[in-house]
This record gives sequence, C-alpha cells and structure tokens, in this order.
Amino acid sequence: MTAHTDPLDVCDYEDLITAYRAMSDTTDRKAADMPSQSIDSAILFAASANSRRRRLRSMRYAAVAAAAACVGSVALISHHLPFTRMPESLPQKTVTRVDASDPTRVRPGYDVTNRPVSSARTSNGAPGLSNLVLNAKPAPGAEVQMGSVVIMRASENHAEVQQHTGIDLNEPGALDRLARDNPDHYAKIRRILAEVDEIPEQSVGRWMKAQFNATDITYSPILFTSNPPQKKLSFTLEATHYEALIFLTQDGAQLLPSRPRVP
Amino acid sequence: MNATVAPILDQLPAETPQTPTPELRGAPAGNAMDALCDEELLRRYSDVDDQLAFRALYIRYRIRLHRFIRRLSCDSHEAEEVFQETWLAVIRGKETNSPVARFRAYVFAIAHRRLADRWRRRKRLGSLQPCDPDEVADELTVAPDEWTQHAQLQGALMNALANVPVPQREVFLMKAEADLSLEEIAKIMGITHEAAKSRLRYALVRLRAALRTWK
Repeated sequence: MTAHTDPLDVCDYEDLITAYRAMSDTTDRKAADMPSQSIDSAILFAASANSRRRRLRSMRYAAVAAAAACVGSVALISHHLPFTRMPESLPQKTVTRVDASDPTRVRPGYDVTNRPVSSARTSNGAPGLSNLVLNAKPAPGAEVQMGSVVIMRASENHAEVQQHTGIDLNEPGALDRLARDNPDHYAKIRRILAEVDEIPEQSVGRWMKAQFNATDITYSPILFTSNPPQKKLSFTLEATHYEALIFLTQDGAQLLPSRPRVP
Repeated sequence: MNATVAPILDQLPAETPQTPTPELRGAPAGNAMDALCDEELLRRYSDVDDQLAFRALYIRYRIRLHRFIRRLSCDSHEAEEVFQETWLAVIRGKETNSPVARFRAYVFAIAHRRLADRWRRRKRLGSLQPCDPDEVADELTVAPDEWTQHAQLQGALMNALANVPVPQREVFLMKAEADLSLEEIAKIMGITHEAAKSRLRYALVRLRAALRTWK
C-alpha cells in the first residue's frame, strides 16, 4: 500500500462514498427515503402562504404609517391653533390575538379555511404540518394592531400600554410583580417555563390548555438559525394575556433579557 | 486510485445543482429553473417571491436532505418534523435578507442545528472512541457498481452506518449526501478542520471494518 501523508486527501474513501450514493439512488431505496406527499404539499403551501402574509403585512404597515403621520400632523396643527379641540381619538380597539368575529384571522386550532385542524397524524404516519404552520407566526393583523395602539397611545402610561398589549414577561421585574399580584398565575408560568422544552412543539398548545387552562396559545421559533434556539410564547390565563421570548438550554426554557422599550 | 473505482466514477452521473430531479409529483419536466444555481433560485424567492424558484430548490434537495435527517434521527416521525422545521426555517429566513454564500451548506446547517436541538434535549450524543489502526480493512473488492445488485450488501452498509456514533455519522453523511467540503462541515458543526477530518476518517474505518466480510 502506498504511503500517503494524509489518507483523506487520496481517494481511498471515494469508493465507500460512491457506493453509498449509488445504493441510495436505487429505485427502492429512493422511494423509502422520499418525504411523504403531504409534507411536500404542506411545505410548498407554507412558502406561498408566507409570501402572501408578507405582502399583506407590508400593505398594512404602510397604511398604519400613513395614519400615524396624519394623526401627528393634525396634533401639530391643533397645538398651534388656539381654542382648538383635539380630534376625537381614533376608535380604541382592544387587541386580542384571537377575534372570533373576524373571518380574516387564523384561529389557533383552525386552518386558513377556518376548518378545525385534526391533531391526528396523516395517513402515512407523518405529523400534520398545519399546526406547525399556524403556530409559526401570530396573526399579522394582531401585530399591526399592537403596533398601531402603541403609536397612537404613546403618551399613555406604561400600565395602560401593557393592558392593551398583554404582560411582557421579559420586562425587568415582571415576574416579581406577578408573584406579588397574582401568585397563582406566577406558579403556573414558572411551571410552564420549566417544562415547555420537554413537550413536542406541536403538542404545546394542547398541553397548556389541559394543564393550565390556557387559551390563545402561540408557540413558535422566531430566529431559526440562532443558537441556542429562541422561541416566542404567548398565552392567556383567565383574562390576562402573557407574552415571552425564551431560549432553550439544558436547564430548560429561560427568559430572554428584555430590550429597552422604545418610548 | 483503485483501478476498479476510477472507471466507475467516470460512469456515475455527477450530482450537480444543474441535474434535474423532478421526482416531485406533478413537477413539470424540463423546467427552466433547473438551469439556475441554488443561490439564484434563493435570491428569486427572497426578492420577488418567485414560488417556482422555491419549488425548484425544494425538488433539488428534498430527497438528500430527508435522507440525511432520517439517518440521524431516532425514528421517521422525528425525521419528518426536523425536515419540516428545516424548510420552514428556509422560508422564514428569507425575510432577514442575510446573504447566503452557498445554499447547500446553509440548508444542511439548519438541519444540523435542528437535530442538535433534539439531541441536546435527549442527550443522545455518543462519546468519541479512539480510532484503532488495526481495524482498517483492506480495500473493498466489490466494485461500487455491483453494490446495487447486492441487496444484502446495501442492508449491511445501512446497518454499519447506523452503528457509527452520531458525530462521525453526521460528518460522513454531510460528505456523502451534501458533498460539502471538510471546511464547510467543520464550520457547520462548530469544530476544527482537523476534528472534522478525524471524525470522517473514524466513520470510514468503522464502515470498512463492518463490511470486511464482503470481501
């Protein structure tokens, strides 16, 4: 055998890799290694749905920005004109992530055609992608509404903003306030954070509903190439909505440090 | 190079990005997208939401990626979940508009991270074992083109691969399925070039030793 300085630089292993590829490309092997048709369809659908959501979100953001500019202009004019009342505030709309009366919202547990999503696996044993796709992003309308509320009510105090946008658990001191004001919710949330990473992603909604009677649940990754992986968790306990950005570690889910809130 | 291997390599079709693989049911044959490189397809999908470009990209990598994930997963259900998460990450990742140097390395890197998340939860990574030079088998006397005729040999290779520890198996599969360089593999896995080379060498030694009976 010829001596080589580095065996991997020579094609001593090419025969193995070539044989593996040749074997993998046989008809029988390829059929066994192919993803199921339902998965193909779901992924292609997710690609097109994401594009539609992007376009719709861009349009809504543009509309909100234009409305905010109008409000600002009116306020500026009114400020300089004496004896001018401020225009009536724009209709206040309570932000809810789920609005049963709005047919354009995608409700958790339902597909885009408002049909219940079956939690059972597909016929070939593959898990359904519908829940994964639904939970991958919250309803775009809700995001825009939250943004618009913050813009229009920027002068309001922090508590009122939180009342409309839910409690951000990443806020400094949020958990301490919760422990003081609502020990029951605090205990539930601590348990959720301790156990959520052990639950399969598509089962988190059912688990939280069964264990904690939570509603309006969203659990989705927000940065897919991050390490450790980051996830967005939001849910409602009784009448209070909570949101949290978490990252998964060996010790369980941890709350991300909060970013300074933009005034 | 082995005299029996060289002519086989010439005969096997090169698996290049331009090779059309229209296994996807209903996919039109001779699609113009097949002539574009991966990065161009990704750019079209990211910039102008070209669904045909994404479809072409998906068709090109779905089998290899699924096979890669399947070989590293504990069961088919986990493999399908990781597969879906990987492609969803590609779909969502286009919104960040971050440049992708090479799509093949990008998508397999995402798959690696998804698998690593699973492994981290289950702590399934095996410990590295030192390579025993005495385990190096003689060169295979069965030519690669004859492998397909031996179903038992295929099964033996798969069994041998399944018995290779996960870190080494992953390096072998990245080389065999994705045809990534050792530099790219090392970067994806967060290890040094030498460590990647060592893992690949270990995997090959283990496979050769396991297939020694097929001499």
